[in-house]
Amino acid sequence: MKKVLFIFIFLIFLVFPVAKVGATPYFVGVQIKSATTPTGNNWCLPPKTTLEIQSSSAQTLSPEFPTKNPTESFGFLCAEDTIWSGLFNIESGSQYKVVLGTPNGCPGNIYNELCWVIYGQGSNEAIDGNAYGHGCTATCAYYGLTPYHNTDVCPGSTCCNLTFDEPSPCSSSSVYIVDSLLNTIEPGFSLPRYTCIGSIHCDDDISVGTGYDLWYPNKCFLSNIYKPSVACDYAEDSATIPVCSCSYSANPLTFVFDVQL
Amino acid sequence: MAKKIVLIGVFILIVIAGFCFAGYYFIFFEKSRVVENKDISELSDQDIVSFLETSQDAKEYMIKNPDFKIESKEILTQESILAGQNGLNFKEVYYGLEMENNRYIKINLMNGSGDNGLVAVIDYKEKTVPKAYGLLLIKAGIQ
Repeated sequence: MKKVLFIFIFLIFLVFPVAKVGATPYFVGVQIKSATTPTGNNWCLPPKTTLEIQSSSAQTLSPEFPTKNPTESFGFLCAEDTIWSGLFNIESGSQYKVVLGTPNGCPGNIYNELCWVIYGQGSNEAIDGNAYGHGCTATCAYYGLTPYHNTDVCPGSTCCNLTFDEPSPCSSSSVYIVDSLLNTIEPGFSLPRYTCIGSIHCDDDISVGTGYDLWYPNKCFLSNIYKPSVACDYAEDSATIPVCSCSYSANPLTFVFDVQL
Repeated sequence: MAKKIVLIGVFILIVIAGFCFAGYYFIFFEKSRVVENKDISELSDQDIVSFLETSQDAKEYMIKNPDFKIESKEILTQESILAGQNGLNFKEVYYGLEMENNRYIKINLMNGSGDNGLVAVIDYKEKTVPKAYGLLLIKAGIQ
């Protein structure tokens, strides 16, 4: 008889679902209701603005697969736009921090406290017409920046002709490492930095570099900052593009919201 | 005598269990059975709510936010599932779904104050709610 009773109780547990225990999965979003400058113009958070979910003690939480924490915005975040987090198991009664952070606001390269962006890139042809038909004022404005000098002509005093040379980084055409890609952000520059390995040295022979499809700037303002670990010589000029200097916000902005569920 | 008491106890338990099972069946199966003959494109808001009530998370949301509204409903296709899995946001909503046309319907609910919502996916083929996630919306302004 006891056996029957146990089997019956066991069956009840099989049939009826166990009450749900634990946290509820949530997506957390921050919607920009309004953002205006002191002069009344609309202001947007720059691309790659991040949203991070933290515990009340400011520990970064791990989201559910497959998203990451923090998440990043793709484009500008303007009024009525929302940036969403990944999926988090949030416990009722607990407190969380939602951290909205802006990058430095420069979508290109930073040098001499200026943001350098490729001239004409990223323009909206529907608005601006020919992508290369406008100057640095419009190019900087497209990224929410202001031109360092208020010129609208390129090439001009604020527009630098950035020259790329074919590199021949090491004495052996195959022995080198690329330390890092300094900036691959569209429409920034993709700038590999080389380090020659062992006794291999930088090569003066420009022909050795044939076959490399990596580019390195050696002129303009950028040459001083992006030198490789081992000094290399460079070949003759092979490409030139204009870039604009724009002012940017050097300090990232951070907004923290405390959320109590 | 002792045997008799045990038998009566078991009988009472069986009766209670029977009632519980009947209630369980009604809540979780009967409501969805009502709409099973409809085409997925013909599901009304009431049908959708009935389906959502079979999910514990969705049901809890609707009880806590009785002023909720259905903000959007979208019948998923292979393309939209794939796009969702590779999209910028809400990948989890699409992750794990079968690549089938007109099998799933994605629902967005939002409460009256617009700060607490729910995103859910109904599997109309299996008559289940495989996805139900909360949406917590913080509104911020800078002036």
